[in-house]
Amino acid sequence: MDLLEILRDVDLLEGLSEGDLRQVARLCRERRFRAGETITRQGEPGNELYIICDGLVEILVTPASAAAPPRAVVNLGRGQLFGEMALVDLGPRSATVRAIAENTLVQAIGREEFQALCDAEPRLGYAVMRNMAADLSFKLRHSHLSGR
Amino acid sequence: MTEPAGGPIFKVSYVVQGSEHPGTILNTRRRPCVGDRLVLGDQAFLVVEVLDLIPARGEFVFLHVTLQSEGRQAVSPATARSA
Repeated sequence: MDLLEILRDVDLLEGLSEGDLRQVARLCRERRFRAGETITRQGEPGNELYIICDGLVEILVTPASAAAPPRAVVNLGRGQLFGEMALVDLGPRSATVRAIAENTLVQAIGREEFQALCDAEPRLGYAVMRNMAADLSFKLRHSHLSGR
Repeated sequence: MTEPAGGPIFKVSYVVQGSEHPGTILNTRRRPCVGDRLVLGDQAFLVVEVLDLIPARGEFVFLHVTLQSEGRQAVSPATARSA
């Protein structure tokens, strides 16, 4: 499956034209992870967001109390994004993300390049930011429904 | 299982009832139905409820699915699939 075909199935990019998707595809860098490999660590600086193309990742949060163990808050699969919070608020990673399926495939997009594209193409930037807000809202709804 | 090309894309919030499992969010081209069995990671589940969560936007349909755990699946990590 080619990258454009994958990006068409990602709701972050809903409403973008084929030309827009090609511009986003040019920013993507493919990465593969084995089951158990850590992709991002809570508290570390983050300058990329990730789109999951295949496989599954686990989002783990360690509460502020150092005595508490990390807790899985959700698993994410195909078409989902993570790392977007650091991209929006420039803060450190809010969670540790670990691949839990073999050969988990993600596309990484650098913050500065992505913001430059959104600034240069305001219609694209508006659609992506709206979709990112909707995705965060969906994750919040999932969290409420799962009691986490 | 091969997913059908074209048509709507279903963004699904899977919640596992009566379990510590955190649930899963993923996109799929196949609408889940009550009675379906699926594998997420290394665990098997039965679909017991499917609801529209929020209105569709463009090609995307947003669903909430309740799952019942059927335990660990006897698959190697290399063959585990996400849906």
